[in-house]
Amino acid sequence: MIEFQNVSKSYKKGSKAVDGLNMTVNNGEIFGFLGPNGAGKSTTIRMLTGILNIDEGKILCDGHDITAEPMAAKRSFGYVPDSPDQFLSMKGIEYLNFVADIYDVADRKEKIRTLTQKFEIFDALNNQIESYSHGMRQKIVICGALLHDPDNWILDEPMTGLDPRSAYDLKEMMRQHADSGKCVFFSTHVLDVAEKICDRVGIIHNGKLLFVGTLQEMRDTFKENTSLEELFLEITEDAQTNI
Amino acid sequence: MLRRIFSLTRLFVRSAFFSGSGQKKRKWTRILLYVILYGYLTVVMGIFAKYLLGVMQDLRQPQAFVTLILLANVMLTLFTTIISSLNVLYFSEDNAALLPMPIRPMEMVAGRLNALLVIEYMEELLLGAVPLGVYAVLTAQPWYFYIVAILVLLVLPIVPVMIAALLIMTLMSTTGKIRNKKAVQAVTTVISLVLAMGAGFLSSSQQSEDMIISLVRPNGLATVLGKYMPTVQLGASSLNRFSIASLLLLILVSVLAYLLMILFSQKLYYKGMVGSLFSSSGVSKKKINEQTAYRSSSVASSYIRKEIRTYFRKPIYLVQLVLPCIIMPIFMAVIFYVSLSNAMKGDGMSVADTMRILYGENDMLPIVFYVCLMVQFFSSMYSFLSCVAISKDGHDAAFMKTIPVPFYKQVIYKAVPDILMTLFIYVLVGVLMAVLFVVPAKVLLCSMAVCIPYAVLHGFIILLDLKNPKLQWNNEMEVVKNNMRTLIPVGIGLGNVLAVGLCGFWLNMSIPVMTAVFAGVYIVLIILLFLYIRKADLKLADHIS
Repeated sequence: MIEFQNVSKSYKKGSKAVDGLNMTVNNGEIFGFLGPNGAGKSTTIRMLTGILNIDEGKILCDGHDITAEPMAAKRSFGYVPDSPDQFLSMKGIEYLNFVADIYDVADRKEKIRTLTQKFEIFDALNNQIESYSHGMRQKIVICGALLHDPDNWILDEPMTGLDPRSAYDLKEMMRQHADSGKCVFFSTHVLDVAEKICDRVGIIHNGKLLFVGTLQEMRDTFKENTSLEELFLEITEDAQTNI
Repeated sequence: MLRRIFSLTRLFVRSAFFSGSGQKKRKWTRILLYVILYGYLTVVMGIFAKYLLGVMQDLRQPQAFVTLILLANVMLTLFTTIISSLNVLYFSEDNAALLPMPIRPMEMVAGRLNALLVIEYMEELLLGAVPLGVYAVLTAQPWYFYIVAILVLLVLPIVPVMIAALLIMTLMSTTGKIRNKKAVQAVTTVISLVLAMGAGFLSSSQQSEDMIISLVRPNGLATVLGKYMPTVQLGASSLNRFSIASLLLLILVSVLAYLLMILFSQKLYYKGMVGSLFSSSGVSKKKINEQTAYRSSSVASSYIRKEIRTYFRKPIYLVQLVLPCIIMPIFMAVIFYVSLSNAMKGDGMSVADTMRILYGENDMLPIVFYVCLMVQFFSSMYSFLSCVAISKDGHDAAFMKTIPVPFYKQVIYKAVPDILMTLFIYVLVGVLMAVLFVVPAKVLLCSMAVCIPYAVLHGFIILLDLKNPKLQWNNEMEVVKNNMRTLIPVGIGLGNVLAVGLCGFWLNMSIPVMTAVFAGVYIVLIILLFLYIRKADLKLADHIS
């Protein structure tokens, strides 16, 4: 479970990148975090994962405050960043072994084989990540994030660069993970994906959370019989008008 | 055409120099820090220059000082251009973007060569302008000396830059046929450095007899030293004798070299550039070895191995950070040994025999110790790993904040490669001193007792990189080249050399006392810094986001 309690972050005086964010991502659900460019999605995820300091409020990951108990909080999530260009000079297997050492993963052989075969990159593990295509880099990063079987998955634009087969497999894995009582928090620009797999969504714009709830609740509140894409555009346009 | 060349030069110089995070707020603070650092190095360089000039004046060879400075600048330019030209010429991110544009090959080559020259001028400012300024003031040179000096310093780097660039272009023109361009990058630099060192080695072995004879004549040494490089002779002649003919000839030769290079190297350059852009990075078809692939290690050992892999697998880091630590001490030791050996040929004694006699005198041992330490500290000036330990990761640095490993531990793990490299330099220099100059074991042991804690302390330079890491870069070259932070080990190394000089030659500290004092100070500093980083922990990561 992930809880945001009145979280705010400013980069410069008078301008908040995230303003009073209150949101809970429950166990057993896939939560889609949506918003236009510059809305505050990445800032939120970076605060959640400990990359950015929080100015106000608290973020709890399975009850552990990311500021007060960083080690415990970080053990409870697996994070896939938006850029997969990580550790390019390492071989795939070296990267996964490194992550396994960090998280003290037991049965690493089995887990590495399972994950990498699922994403069809097992045969490329002996090559440097620099030689991988964008999609393969994305897959190796996903494998690294899931290797220690974290309860909370934090995925920032995880589908970018994935081929249809891998994107499907990842969506299936997300569904299975949520169904097993754990939580998936992911941000995306691809509203079709969010519409298909998310149990609940949160829409952020100009640092403020405009809506959080199920798709049905969104339709009930704003407009019936419309797609997530149309609802999203309407919500964010209204917010823009009100500024 | 000239306007395009100027625009390209500006672009390539900006690419070669790091652009920074663009935060205006800290820009002036950074500039001030760099000015202070440059100022400090200027003072240190000035002190050395004054001391060297004093020695030359005692030997009745003051003009040899000028020749020596010009020669040192030319040799340094040759070596540093070999190292930097690969990236400026071939592995700049803008190559793929510029190739499709309607830019004449001549314009591209001119822009690249100009960028190399600008980079070398930055080094010449410290290593050329400062010593010549000291010389001019202390020997009461007339006003036109300064004008001639500026002209000489402007044209002097041109020929060595052209030679280095030509060497690299020739070797890189073979990349089209080679699959693994990263291996080419590293091997090309090593080959070029070996060729340049070999030339220097041959030259020194031939000239050392002349050098001994020249010491008899006032300023005779200046003439001999000038023979190492014709442009040095012309530059020295311009400054020492105010020879207009020499100055004009130097300018003519340099301009000719520049123009010939631009006119005739275009095809060579493009062959290498296209070849390096489109050759593969050497993908292996080998699968992992199931028996050994899934090794588990401690977090510390895994982390440190990751760091070391980055330094060795990224050619820019290998060439700019690792190789200088290995090559420069060997090069300096061998050149000095060969020169000394040749000088002693006439006496029928070997270097080892002469040194043994020297060490046999009790009052010489402390001096040998001081010199050993000074050489050790001087050699460690080339260890830059900690200066870029955070910056080299770029965007990856944020990974440090997301994993459940205490941040202060990660800082220590990242400092370990620098500590190991500095230790390696000290051991290498120690071995060279023991083998070539038969320095007594007890002197070497005492010097290592000082150097080992210093090597650990050296690793803490990482704290400066943490203060203002440069994480927004497109090219690894931006991290290492013209990163003013790499001047810090130089400054600290020179500071230590000065401290040894003061404590040894002025305070006449004995070997045990100096060992205890220096080692003790370093150990105390290590403990204080360790306690600081442990307490600060995540606060150290405030600038990583």
